[in-house]
Amino acid sequence: MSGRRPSLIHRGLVLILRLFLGGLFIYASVHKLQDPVAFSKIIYNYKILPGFLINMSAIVLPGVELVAGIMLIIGFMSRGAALIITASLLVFICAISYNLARGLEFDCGCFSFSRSTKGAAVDLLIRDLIFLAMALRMLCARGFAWSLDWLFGLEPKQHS
Amino acid sequence: MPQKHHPLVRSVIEAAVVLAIGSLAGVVNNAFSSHSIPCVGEWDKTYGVPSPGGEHAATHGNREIGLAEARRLFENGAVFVDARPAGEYREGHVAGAISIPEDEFRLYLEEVLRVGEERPMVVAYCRGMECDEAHLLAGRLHDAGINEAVVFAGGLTEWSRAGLPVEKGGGGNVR
Repeated sequence: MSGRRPSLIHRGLVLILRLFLGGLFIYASVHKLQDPVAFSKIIYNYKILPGFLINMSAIVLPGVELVAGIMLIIGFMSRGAALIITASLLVFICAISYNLARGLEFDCGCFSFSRSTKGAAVDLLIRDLIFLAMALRMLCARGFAWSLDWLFGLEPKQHS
Repeated sequence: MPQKHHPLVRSVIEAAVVLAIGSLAGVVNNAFSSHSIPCVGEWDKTYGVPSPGGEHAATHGNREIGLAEARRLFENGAVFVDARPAGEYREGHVAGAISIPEDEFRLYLEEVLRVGEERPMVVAYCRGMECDEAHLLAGRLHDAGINEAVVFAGGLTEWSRAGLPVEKGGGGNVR
C-alpha cells in the first residue's frame, strides 16, 4: 500500500465506467424481462445450451443482468456486480464467436428482438469486446469511489 | 465487516449474492409476466415445433400434424394457408395454398372469412420446424371462429423434400 489516494481523474473514470456498464446492463435486461417467451427463443437459436436449460436461463439471466446493473450503479456489493458483468460479457463473447465461427445465422437478442445478419454479429462482437475492456479496467481499479461500499468503508478510502 | 476478507474472496462472495438475488428477481418477474414460461420448455424438434411451452407460447392450443396427415388432408381438399410473408409465398408454396401472412393478418380478413365458409379444414404452415408463424396464424384463425385449423409442423421444407406438389407465383389472393 503506497498510502497515496487514487487521483481524482482515476476515480472519476472508474465511476463513469460503473455508471455506463451498470446502465447498459439494466437497459439490456428490460426487454428480456418483458418477454421471457421471446428471449427463450433467442437462447434456443444460439444452439449452444441443451433444451432443458433454455427456459431456466431465459428466466434467470435477465434478472441477474438487472440486479448486477443496479448494484454496480449504487455501488453496493459493487465488486461482485463488476465480476458478474465481466463474466457475462465473456460468456456472450464466447457464444457469439462460436456461432460466427460455425457460420450460424442468429439473433443476438442483446438489446432488442430482431433478426440480425452476419455483419451485425461481427459488429456486436466488436462492441462486446469494447465493453469487456471497459469492465476489466473497472475490475482492476483499486477503489470504487463514491459508492455505497465506499461510504460503508468496504472500499479503500485513505490508501490505494 | 470492513476488510475482513481478502478483496478477491469478498468479490466472489458478493458475486454469489448478486447471482442469487438476480436469479430470484428473474423467477419473480417470470411468475408475474404476461409472457411467463415454465421451468423446462419443449425444445426437442422430434416432438414438434420447438417452443418454450406454457400457455403463452405460440404453439399453445394448436394441433400439429405430420407429413402423412398433411398429405392425406391435401388429397381430401383441405385448405392450405401459407403464413409466411407474401414475398416468400411467391417464390414457392404448397400447390393451391392461399397466402395469409401472419404479420398482416388484418389485411387478409376477407380471405380468412371466405376460407372459413368454404371448407372447415384448414392447414397452416410456414418454412419448417423452427418457424412459429403457422402457429400464430392458427391461433388467429381459431379466434376468428375457424376451429379446425391445424399446423403442419414440417412446413414447406418437409413438403418439398417429400416431392409433393409445389407451385410458384402470385396465386389468386397475393397483395
